[in-house]
Amino acid sequence: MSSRRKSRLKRAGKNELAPADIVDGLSKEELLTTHLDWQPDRLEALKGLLDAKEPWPEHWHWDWSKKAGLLDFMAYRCIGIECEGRMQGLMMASTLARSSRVGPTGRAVLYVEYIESAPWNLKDLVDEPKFSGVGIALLEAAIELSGEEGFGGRIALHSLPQSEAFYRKYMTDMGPDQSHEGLRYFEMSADQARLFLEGRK
Amino acid sequence: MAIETTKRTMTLNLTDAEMQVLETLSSQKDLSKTAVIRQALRLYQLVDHRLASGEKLFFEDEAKRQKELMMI
Amino acid sequence: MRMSDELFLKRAAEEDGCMISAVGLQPLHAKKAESGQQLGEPIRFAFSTLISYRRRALRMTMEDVAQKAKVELDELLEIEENLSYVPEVRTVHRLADLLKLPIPQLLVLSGNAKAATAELTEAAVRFAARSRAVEKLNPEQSDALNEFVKVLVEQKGKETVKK
Repeated sequence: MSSRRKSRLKRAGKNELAPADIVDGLSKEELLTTHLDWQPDRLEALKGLLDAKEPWPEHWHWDWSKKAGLLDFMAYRCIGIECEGRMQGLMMASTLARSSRVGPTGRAVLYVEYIESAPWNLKDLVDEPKFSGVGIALLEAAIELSGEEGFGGRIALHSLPQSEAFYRKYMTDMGPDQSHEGLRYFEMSADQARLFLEGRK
Repeated sequence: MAIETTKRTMTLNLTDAEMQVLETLSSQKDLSKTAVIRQALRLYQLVDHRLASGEKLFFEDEAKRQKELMMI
Repeated sequence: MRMSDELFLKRAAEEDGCMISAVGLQPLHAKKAESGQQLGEPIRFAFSTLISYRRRALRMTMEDVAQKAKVELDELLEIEENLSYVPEVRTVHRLADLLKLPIPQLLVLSGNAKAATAELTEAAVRFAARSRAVEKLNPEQSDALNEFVKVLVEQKGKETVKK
């Protein structure tokens, strides 16, 4: 059973917060339900991009059943952010520690297997996105989980190309990772995590 | 998968050598001993599942072009 | 510790509906069978195992085979370990020469040609089912190997279809 804690999102186009819930420990069924909920908007957006001959990352048609299967193992945790009755963003993290590459090296790092915002929140897909701050809220949740696990807030992920600029603001860009289809690897140290939360960067 | 909101305590009987390993790992990785044990459990669950499904576990040294089968 | 609402608003405004997608490594429990080659997998497994067993039956290491057949060790590893790897025809020829195996049937098993007979397919599936990858062939594996090689040789005269 998942647990909830209070969070918030920003209403796009307005300087106001909307109350939201971080839902921690989503089940396979909840993950798949979210996927089904997002799918019509996603397909609509994909069609639009294809019509406009825009490039699209191949990872967009991820096999959700495969991702959901990870939740059979206690190393994996799925966290979502829900607002106004719908899941606005999802994240799956591995609590099987990776090794930090940013100094000090060799320390335990929470690895974000997957993170995504609901399609209606993305300005590349819709004319009027609904909410902003999904990435910020989920990064915050990842740092919190990292802290709970004793990893000191350290997190890491491989970014899709369109998201690199976002992660570069808060994490160290370690460059393309050839063992991972050349996607750029980003890591946030314990210090960077603290700065992210406190806002001194 | 349910989130563990309650925790249970158990006593772990380890030899001196095992405790030494646990303490070394804890220090090297800057993790508590409990966190190290949790990591071991998670890794074991994943590896065990794949081995049980007939896969093999290898270590690979790309530089030396060597692969070593882990017999577990 | 959570960031203040003020800071969140500022950061969220900067995020401004941009993409945040990140994708991780392959799930640790994923199997290569997902690549959609379920039907061909036993055949390809039979090929990998055949090369591996035959090499060991002839008391050769991978390095020996790589050197004598003039193939890259990397490629030999891929052949023996990676079920989705299709070796080049030239490599299959060289391995067939060295390991004294019939070329047309090896081309089928490696994924470079289609089998003209159901017998070969069935034999490959049976061999795959009986095989277990261990370092030393036990008598049962030796039997399985010999039986399969016999079928390959019998099939030698029969036509195969190039892919």
